[in-house]
This record gives sequence, C-alpha cells and structure tokens, in this order.
Amino acid sequence: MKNKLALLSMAGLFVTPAMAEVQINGFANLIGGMTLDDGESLYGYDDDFSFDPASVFGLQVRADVSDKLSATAQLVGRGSEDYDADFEWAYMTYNLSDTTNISAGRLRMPLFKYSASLDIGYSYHWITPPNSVYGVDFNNIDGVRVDYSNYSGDWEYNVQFTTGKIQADTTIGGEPAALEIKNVVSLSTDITRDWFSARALYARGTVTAVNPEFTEFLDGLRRFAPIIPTAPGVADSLNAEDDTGTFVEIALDVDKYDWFVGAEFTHTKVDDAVISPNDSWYVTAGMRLGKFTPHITYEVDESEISDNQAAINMLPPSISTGDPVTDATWAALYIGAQGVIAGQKYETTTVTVGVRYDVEPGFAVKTDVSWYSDDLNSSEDATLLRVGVNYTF
Amino acid sequence: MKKWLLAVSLCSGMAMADVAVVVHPSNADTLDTNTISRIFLNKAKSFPGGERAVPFSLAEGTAETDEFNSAVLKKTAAQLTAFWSKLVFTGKGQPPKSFDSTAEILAEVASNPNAIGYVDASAVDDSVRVVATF
Repeated sequence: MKNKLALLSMAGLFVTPAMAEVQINGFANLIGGMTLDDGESLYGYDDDFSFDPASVFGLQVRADVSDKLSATAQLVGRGSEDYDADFEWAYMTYNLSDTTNISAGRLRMPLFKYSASLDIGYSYHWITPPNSVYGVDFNNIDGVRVDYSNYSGDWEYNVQFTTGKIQADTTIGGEPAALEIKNVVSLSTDITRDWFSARALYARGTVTAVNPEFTEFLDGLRRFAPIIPTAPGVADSLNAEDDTGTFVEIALDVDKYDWFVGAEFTHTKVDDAVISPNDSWYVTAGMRLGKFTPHITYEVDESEISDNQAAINMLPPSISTGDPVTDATWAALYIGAQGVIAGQKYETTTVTVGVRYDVEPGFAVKTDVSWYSDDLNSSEDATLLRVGVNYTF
Repeated sequence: MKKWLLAVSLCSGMAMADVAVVVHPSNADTLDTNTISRIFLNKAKSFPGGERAVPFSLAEGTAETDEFNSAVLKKTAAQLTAFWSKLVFTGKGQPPKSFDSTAEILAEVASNPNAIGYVDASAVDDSVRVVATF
C-alpha cells in the first residue's frame, strides 16, 4: 500500500510539470582577461590570464502555473565564487492586468539601465557594463516589485516600484563587512520612443554595515570622551548603523541602429556614516557595421568630501595627558581615523575601447582594452585586456 | 554577372514570399501593423476586442519569418535575439512558440480562438481569417 501511494505521488510529480508550461533558458559568459603590466590589478584581474573574475553561467527555469501566475528561478554560477551555483533569483509573478504585474521573492533590483540583463552579456556591447557605475555590492533584493508598462502614441513607458531588504558583502575600513539595507523603497521609470530612451530612479533604505575591527576602532574613539569630548560624536558620524542611504540614477540613450550613444549617471549617499558620497557616470558610443560593433566608453567614479572628514579634522592629532600609553593610543586612533577617511577617497577615470562580433543570433564574441587611471594614486593605474564569448539559448 | 543574377533571384524570391497574418475565423478584430507588432513582441497581451492573444511564429530563417520580422516587427534577426534575451532572462516574457511548417500554424490558428500567426499568403485557406498581408 505504501509503495502504491509513493508511486501515485511520484506520478503526481510527473503530471504537475506537464500541466504547467515550463521553459528552460540558459546563458554563458566566458570572459578571460589580464592586465598588461607586471604587478597591475584591476576588477579582480592581475597579470596572469584568468577566466574567474567575470565569467558567469546561468540556467533559468520559468513555469507558467496559469495564465496569470508564473514562477521563475535562476541558478547562477560565477567564476568569482568558484562557480558555486546559487539561486540568485527565485520569485513568483502574478499578472494583475495586461499592464501591471507583481513579483515577490528574490529578484533583481532595477538599479541601473542594464540591471535586468546584467548577466546576459549578449544583450549589450561591452564585455561587462562600466564598473564605475555598475560596480556595486548588490544587485538583488528580497521583496516585492510592481511593474507597470503601457504606451501612449509612439511612447512606451514602464514604472517599477520595488520594496524589500538587501543583504550583501562589502568592506568597511578595508575589512570585509556585512551590508544590510532595510526598508528599501525604489521608484524607477523609463520611456522609449523609436531610437530615444530615458530612465530615472530614486531609491532609499536604512543602511547598516559593520565589522568587528571597525566597531572596535569606534569604541576606541568613544573611550576618549573624558579627554576629547567631541570623539564620541565623530565615532557616531562614522558608524554605519541604521543610517539613511539614498540612490539616484539617470540614463539617456540614442540608438539609431547604425550608431548609438548612451550615458548613465548615479549618485549615492549614506547620511552620518563612513561611506562617502559617490558620483559615477559614463558615456558610451558605438557603430554597428554589419556583424561588427566597435565602441568606446569613458567613465568616471569619484567620491565627494563627506562631512565626516571635516569632523575628523577637528580632532587633535595628538594629546599629552602625562600617560604615554594613552597619548600613543590616541595618536594611533587619530591616524586610523585619517586612514579610514583616506580609504573612502577615490577618483578614477577609465577609457574602454572594444569590439563585438555577432557570430550568429544568440552568440557573440568580444574583446576590449580598458585604461584605468587612479587620479589620486597613479601607482594603481592599470591596463586590462579582455576577451569574451556570450551565448544564450 | 552570375552573382548579380543570383542576387536578383534571391531578392525576387524574398519579395515573392507575401506573408499573411491570420487569426481564428471567430476573431472579428481589425489589426493594424502596430498592433500586430505589439502582440508579437509581448507588449500587448490581448486583441483590441479584449480577448487574450497568443502569437505563433514560423521557424527562424524561413522566408516568411524574415519578411515578417522586417515588415512588421522592423527588426533584424540579431536585434530580435537581443530583444528576446532581455525579456526572457528578466522573466518578462518568452518569444512566440514557433512551428516548423505552415500547415502546423494553420492547424493551430484554425483550432485556437486566441491564436495569431503568419504564413505564406498563398497557403491560406478557409480555416483561418486573414487580418493583414505584407
């Protein structure tokens, strides 16, 4: 009897998927690269040729449970994570109407113009989208997204509202830290007419990013309250705990097919935290000459001076309490604080020249060279050569 | 000279493939090029009359599909692949189910009130209604 039941339930397993329409799609980006000079490193590459930093393989399964309900899961393996396959997306979508659907689960955060198809190298001309703008710590969110799309005359438009929670890895004071962004709300809209498209996004959330080293450092500052009354305030202004973060993005594109020009700008800010405000942007242009798409991109990534910097500069570099250990501890903390702030300062520009060759629909090969320039520390300059194959099925 | 002849015959061969867009005979909607394009690009999910629209295409590389893609969708094969890869991998939609033969399209459209497909205009019979010819 038990066996019969087991058989029946097995049969049930086989019957259910047959009733739902199941689609399986896959993508592969095999990308290899190396820096051209000894000792240079950039985006995870060094002067030894490697496939690891940007190669991505993925499988997507989508089941249409009914006309209105579908389930989507994406299993992704990244070279940067030893190709350990991970469910990066797992969500269900319900079509409320022809124009509106709601998705819930783990889904892509629509931060940028190319966020949705970030892992689908085939869908853009670069090997990877410009790191200055796209090099963020997270791309997915656990939550709910409402998508509205409609058209008016020749204009197509989309509005997306996303809310949820983000968990990711970041670094604070040069050490790995857990990043958590709660109460995320984001509103984005894009409009398209023939060859013109524009997009804008505003998002905010409550940011916490901590690691033990940084917490210990902040506690060290706070302990000097009896001697330096402003020290605890400075510690609080550096601490990234339940601080409001805001993110703004704007993108413009003209695509006349024979040629295209695009630009995207982002601004990030976390109030009262060590994380410095950031401005990033790129301008890209290319031509489609038969199967060849040569292109060029100029990108800039820079931090702004944060209020914290001014606060730290108000602290005394040294004190003389009569106790050499206390004085030395403070001097070390002060140097540490300056170091933390210095570590948050950056100003880089990158020029990338590349070409995409479309072998056949769904299959493209690419190569590009990036000249990366660290405008604060030229010893970090690097030149990166990459080759890649993009495939979708 | 031979090459030139071949080019001419290829061109005329393509022009010969007049494509008829067909729906179920019970579907009385009037469809313009833009509406047909929107249905085949997953932008519209319903016919103007409100019934759900399910598009079916012929296989890639057929003369009918080439003609339909350029005349109605106004996209090259590479553009379409890039377009669909974005939709597919964002879970927003799938390209129309494709059939290898005109007979399969006609059979599907003739039996499915929600279906819309395209076939070689010369292959059309009474089992379907033609809404446009390109």
